[in-house]
Amino acid sequence: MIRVAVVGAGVVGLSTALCIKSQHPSLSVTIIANRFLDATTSDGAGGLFRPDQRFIGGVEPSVLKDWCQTSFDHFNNLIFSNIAAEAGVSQVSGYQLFNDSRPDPSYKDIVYNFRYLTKEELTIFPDHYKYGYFCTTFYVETRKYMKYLTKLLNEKQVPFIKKKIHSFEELVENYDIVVNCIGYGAKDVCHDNLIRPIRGQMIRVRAPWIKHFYYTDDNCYMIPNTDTIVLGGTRQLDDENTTVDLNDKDGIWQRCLRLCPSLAQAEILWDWAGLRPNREPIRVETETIKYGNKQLLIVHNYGHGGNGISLSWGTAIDAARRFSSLLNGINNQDKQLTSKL
Amino acid sequence: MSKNTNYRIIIVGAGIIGLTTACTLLKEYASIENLQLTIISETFSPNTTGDISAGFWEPYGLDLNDQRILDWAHYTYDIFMAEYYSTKAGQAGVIQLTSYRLKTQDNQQTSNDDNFLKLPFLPIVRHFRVLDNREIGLFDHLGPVIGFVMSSVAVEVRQYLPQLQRFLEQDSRVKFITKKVCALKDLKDQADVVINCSGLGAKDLVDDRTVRPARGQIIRIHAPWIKSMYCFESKDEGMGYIIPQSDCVVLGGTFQLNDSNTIPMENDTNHIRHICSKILPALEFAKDAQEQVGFRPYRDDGVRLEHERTVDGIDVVHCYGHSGAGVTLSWGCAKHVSEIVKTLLPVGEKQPTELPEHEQLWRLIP
Repeated sequence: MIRVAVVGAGVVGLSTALCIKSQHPSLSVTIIANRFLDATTSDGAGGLFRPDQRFIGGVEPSVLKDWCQTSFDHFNNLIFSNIAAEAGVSQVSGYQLFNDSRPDPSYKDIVYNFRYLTKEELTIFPDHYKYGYFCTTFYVETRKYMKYLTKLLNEKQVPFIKKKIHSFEELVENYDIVVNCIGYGAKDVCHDNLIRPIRGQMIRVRAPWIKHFYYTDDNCYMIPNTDTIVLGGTRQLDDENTTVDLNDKDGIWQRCLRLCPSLAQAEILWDWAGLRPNREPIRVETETIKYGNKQLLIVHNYGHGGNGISLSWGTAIDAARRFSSLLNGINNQDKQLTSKL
Repeated sequence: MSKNTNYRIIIVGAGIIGLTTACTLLKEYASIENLQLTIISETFSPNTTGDISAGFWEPYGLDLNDQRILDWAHYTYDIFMAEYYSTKAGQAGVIQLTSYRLKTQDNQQTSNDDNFLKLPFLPIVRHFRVLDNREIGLFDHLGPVIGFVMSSVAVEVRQYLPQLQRFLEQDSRVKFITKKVCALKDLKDQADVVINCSGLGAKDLVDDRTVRPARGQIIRIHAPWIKSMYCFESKDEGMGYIIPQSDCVVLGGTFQLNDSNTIPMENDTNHIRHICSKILPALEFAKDAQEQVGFRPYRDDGVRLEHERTVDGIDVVHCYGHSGAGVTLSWGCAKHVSEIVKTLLPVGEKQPTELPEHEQLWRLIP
């Protein structure tokens, strides 16, 4: 009997585990992670869907498009289902404002209502911007969404084990296939030098009169979630500091306040800093590692950078597809062996 | 023409129409030290007509081909949008909303569909866009529909009016009196101009039999994940709308002319919940539902905004009958009223100022 371990319980790990278990209900699938729910990197995300090829290096455009569309359709269905509130997903519209001319974002044909703002519409903002666009996409409130995924996994009787993995060799005794959704942990566990942290800090506030997202080009964004608004941010490459920096906080606050003066009345709830697990390309592929006379089949799904939520479902489906191929490979081998007897 | 050195203005009614008018008059008569502005009303926020509404800007329940309506609505829209991008938004309850307007496709009379996509107020709003085939597919669960999206605002009257009141109170020329005015002639010796912003009360106050209540029932519900406005006009099941506020979501609605029933009706609640859950199925599980009933001051011939010199010799400026568009037309009507008042009580040219228009009308008082 094939035993599967999914390593990592962030949004990518939970999504991938769910895809695999849904496609192979009688398979033994266990989730092993050191951090869960609020303690994961995913918890800090604002969860706005806007995966732009410009910031996702090394991925084939057609592959990225497939990941994006699959994710988008999945979340879109949730929005208009009766569990939208439970899953923490909702439509939201908003603005991107900037002063340099740049190529259109690659997600423009996936999201809705994408259009450029007219000069007259741009005058509405407190600061002057030369360009801007408006679109309708959705946000995923990570805390709710992860609880929702966890609930579905519990219903499918997928066990969760709290354990920090230092090497996959620890798993070779008890598991046949490892699904690696370890995020930034891949740096040590997989000795992967391609994965680099991009530090992000944000402030969560309550400002319920704000129902749109806003992005400007100077590390300033506002993303509404269900009861809170995420104000961000920073993008500090190779910075591993996960504690809140007061200078960063002040910078974020001032920038957002310029964009939206009414924030002065917002209630500040909490601060957060974390590391986007950035890799060029996002690693979705299989690998076989030998440990002595044993071997471990690995399906990698990590390195999503700042697009973990956005691409979680699309990459999970892709990883599940590769997983199924691996499984078929094993079953065929077994058949060949038995047929030779 | 006699020179008038008295500037005694009485405003009857302290709802959204009365208080926006008061602020506008303070702006126009800023230079008049002996201005006496008295606001007399039976009710104040949170008990005015507007307090119950979701305060959504859209000309509704009136003749949309009336250019006056479009002009008033346009001015008001621009004020609210500017206020949203100012420091006022949070405390005054001004919320910008992306708004989806959907309608069941009419295969028999396509002109109905064309008219829907070309509603006369659409040139006023920002971000107007007809939903294309792909986008309309989002709403497949509603059957074949057409629709558009636009940016509008919701003004939470229960927050907005108290802020206007605070602003007005700090001006020593303004006085508030809680009292029901039974006849305008009672005010004859107290005012040079009376402004009638009595809404539904105009029916009795000035014996206007064309004013009728248009009952609206709504449900306030806890659904904070909803960030956009949705309105759906179905073929057979009437209309429903979902309007987010800062502390709840308003589900509506009904428009029942001549109905003065103040009790929430189960039929209406069921209709509202049914159609709103069709648009966003997750609403089925939304909690903390609070039903409310309000009465739009509908008037057969539309908004009455005009000067009348009554038989008792009082100069009255009427401003009532806004139906479901009180918030929508408020600042625009207030401006028009003040233009008329200036012909009766002349005032010199205003000092030029760099302040944006909405800041000239009123400021947040800490």
